[in-house]
Amino acid sequence: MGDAPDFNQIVADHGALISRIALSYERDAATRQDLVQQIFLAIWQALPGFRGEASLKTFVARIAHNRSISHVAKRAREPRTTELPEMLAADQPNPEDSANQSREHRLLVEATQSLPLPQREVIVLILEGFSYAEIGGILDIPQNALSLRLGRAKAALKSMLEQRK
Amino acid sequence: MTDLDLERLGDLWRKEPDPEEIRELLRSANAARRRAQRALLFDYVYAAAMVIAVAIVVVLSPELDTLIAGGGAIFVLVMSQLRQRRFRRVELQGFTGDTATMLDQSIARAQALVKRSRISLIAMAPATLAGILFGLALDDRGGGGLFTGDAEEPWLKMLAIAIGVIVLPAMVAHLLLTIRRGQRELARLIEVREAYRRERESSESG
Repeated sequence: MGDAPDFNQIVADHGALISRIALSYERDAATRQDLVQQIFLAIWQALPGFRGEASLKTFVARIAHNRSISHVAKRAREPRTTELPEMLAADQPNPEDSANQSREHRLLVEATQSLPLPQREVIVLILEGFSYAEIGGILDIPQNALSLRLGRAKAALKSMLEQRK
Repeated sequence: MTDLDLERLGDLWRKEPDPEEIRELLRSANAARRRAQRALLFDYVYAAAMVIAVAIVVVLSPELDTLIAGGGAIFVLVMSQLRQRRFRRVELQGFTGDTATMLDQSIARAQALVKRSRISLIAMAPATLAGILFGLALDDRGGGGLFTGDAEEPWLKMLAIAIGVIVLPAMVAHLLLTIRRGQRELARLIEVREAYRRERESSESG
């Protein structure tokens, strides 16, 4: 096998993915920053053992999810409910569209953060664009179990979004 | 009732990061990596310094009790380093594996930590007594007077008092806090593990 993948390239390619996964598990900005750093550290330490059995993206996503779940389980207190920052204004000519999109994004993130952990994992990976096969590989669950979990997660997310509207 | 449009929500979720955000992520990632490298270097330097210090003491005072104490200190240091490395390796394996296994390993570690802390707390009384007896034996060999205030080095008496009044109670408080935090963490880990087990069972029976 060749050299371990370049760490800086991984951060450049998948840093946003890691940041979004951390956001789905930690609401407080300062604590989330720590969590993101811990995820980067775990990836850096795990890189020499990467053998290419799956794509780098799935490798990174699996570590990010597991590290985040460990963080949630070890959290000393209930998470502080801080206001999420609005999305940076997209380059849109219509400020009303931009504000609506920003509000919708915030509602989506809050609803995702409220899901039970097993369902949250699945929904976040779907939102990140992973295929069913990739999600099954990351979570190590068979396809029929994944379909059932995703069905429940979608129903829960829909209910949360409707409550917040 | 309309179904959830995951494709549209996915586009909303995956907002394009701006270049500054990526630069900040790179800075953050490299800061984390440098800190870890420094910590590892510190571990090696500390271990080397301890070994050198023990070697110097043994060379300057080549007596049996010094050799035993020095050997014991190096043994404790080596075991501590090995345990830390094993802990890091197992933790890393957990993060690259499936969630259920990762949680099981975390639960096992939390249980081990609580157990070790309890044993340390219970062992403190006999260990303190052994320390006092050892101190008395050394004092007797050195001509006595430490505990009556007649010793040539009165600072030793101050040190003994500081250990008894400050260090030991602080160690007891630290162990009690560690046990309490460990138990809370264990309870949360078990709760999360149960959530995954229930989800898996309902998926298998669904």
